Amino acid sequence: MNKNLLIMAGVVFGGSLSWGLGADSLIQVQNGFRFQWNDNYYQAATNKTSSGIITEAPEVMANFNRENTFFGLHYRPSFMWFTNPSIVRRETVQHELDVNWNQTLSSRVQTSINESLRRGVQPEMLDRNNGLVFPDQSYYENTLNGTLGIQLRESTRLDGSARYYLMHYDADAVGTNANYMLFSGGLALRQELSKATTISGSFNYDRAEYSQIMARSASTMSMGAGVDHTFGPRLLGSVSGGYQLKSFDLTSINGQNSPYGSFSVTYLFDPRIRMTAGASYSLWEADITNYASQERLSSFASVGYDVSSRVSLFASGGITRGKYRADQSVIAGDVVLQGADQTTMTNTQVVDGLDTVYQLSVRLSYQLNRHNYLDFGYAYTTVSSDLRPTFAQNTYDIGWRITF
Amino acid sequence: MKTISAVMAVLASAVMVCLVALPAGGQAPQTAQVTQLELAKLMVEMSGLTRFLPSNPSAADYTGLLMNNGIVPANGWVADQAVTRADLARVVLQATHQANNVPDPTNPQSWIDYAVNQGIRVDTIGLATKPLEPLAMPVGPTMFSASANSGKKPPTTVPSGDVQYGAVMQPIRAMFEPIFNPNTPTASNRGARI
Repeated sequence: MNKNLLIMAGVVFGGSLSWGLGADSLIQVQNGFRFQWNDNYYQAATNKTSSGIITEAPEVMANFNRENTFFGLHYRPSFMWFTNPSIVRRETVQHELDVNWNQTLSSRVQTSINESLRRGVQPEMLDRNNGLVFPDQSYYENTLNGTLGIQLRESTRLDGSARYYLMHYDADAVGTNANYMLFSGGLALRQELSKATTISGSFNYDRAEYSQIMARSASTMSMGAGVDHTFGPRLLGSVSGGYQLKSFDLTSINGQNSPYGSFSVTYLFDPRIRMTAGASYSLWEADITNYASQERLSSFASVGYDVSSRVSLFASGGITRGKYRADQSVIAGDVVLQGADQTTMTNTQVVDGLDTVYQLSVRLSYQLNRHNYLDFGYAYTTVSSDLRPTFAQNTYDIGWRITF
Repeated sequence: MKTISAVMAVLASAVMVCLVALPAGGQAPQTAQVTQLELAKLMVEMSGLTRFLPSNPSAADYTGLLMNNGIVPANGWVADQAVTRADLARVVLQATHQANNVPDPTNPQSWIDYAVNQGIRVDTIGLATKPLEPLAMPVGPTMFSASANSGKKPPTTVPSGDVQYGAVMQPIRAMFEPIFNPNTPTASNRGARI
């Protein structure tokens, strides 16, 4: 009887998972449960705020696959509880939604639409006098990409892409400096030279519009070329480079023309050990709000190692350096905004400077059985900067993931 | 009725075994007209990795993503090379976390045999990829998206911090944008975080 009940429950559950999408479709449900200890949640130099964070994250993935159509859906809400009572909003929720639609229109024409929505409801923080130190940082981030690909010849492909990006914070104190939209359009022409080598040329136009602080609004044109090359069964490499021209809406802020470039390599030491490494240099949206732009140089390396059929080890490290120029300050003269509400004005000098972030992360994953995984993680982050206080942060976590 | 079903099942199994046992001259036979790039695209889709791709992915984007998740044919991904049954068995076993159980990984036939023993039908791409499901611990691209091509940039925030199950790392922008102001009175001892 019990066995029959189990079978019935299994059939009903399985049936509900594959509801409506047919035999070639797949819906999978996963659940992640994690406890994390963060020794410096607010990334402070001193007076660090540590907190345990309990995260419950169910996840739904659906694939709808037909000869000419692929539709993929991924949704994951993350419910988080903070154990430190000094964090005011101790229960938060984050949403991640990804939708991918690829459609083959003819033997030569394909189109794809990709949508990514992030919604974060973020904790506020009060100081010991019950004053607001950080306002609500809840936000929406939306990315909508569309691409039309045309196979001009057997070895030649032209892609036209457009992108709409929105970053919107709920609180005015945050959004004043940071709410913006990005409109992008571009063309990429790819030519396969041989089985192992593909070259490409691209042109892109980006338009960033900040809703309330015009000084950060800018237009960027990028032109470049790239090569993807398979050096052998175990080594894959990409390199690209070009030139960028960035101009700001405010004529008082100097525009900037700059070369850009990037490379990455993926190498398999053996089937169980793989490594990816790369570096890039380009103009980038400023991470520090007093500046309109930055020159960003970043490098990274990641290693994955399948220790056994059940144990996998991952490690990543990266260094990102931003160079900021005083002549691209978004503040007129020497006056800068101060305070959490960004309204106080003082005469502090805005200077040229570097801001460097170092990151290291390690994760060990243990597969208990086909459907259950345990993972253990550690991450270290530190900042060295001419422009802001430095900090170091360690996080430790243990998680359990189950797939249905 | 049961007898007919049993006979049909035995016949089907026999046909399948015959197909699997046909390596000519030690070389695994090739499936018809399917290139490795087509297989790579299908593997990305079936393994739930599509969301990690840029909107205009190149062949290298597909194969690099698979390589980062430990899914790769014996001789690497070669875009226009035809798929062999051994490679098909290999990538499906890799995607289902069974690769380390193959008795003789250097022997292509061993991959085929092990896959067949696990009930994976490597006769066609469609049948072989049927058991695939989204990876439980996918490794996505790192946040160090290097490209100036805006179509290749991923979302800047990772709300739960673990969109990739390789090593979890916050995007740089998420660390102190947007509220961080180096001159705020509290900035000397407090930063901001998304």
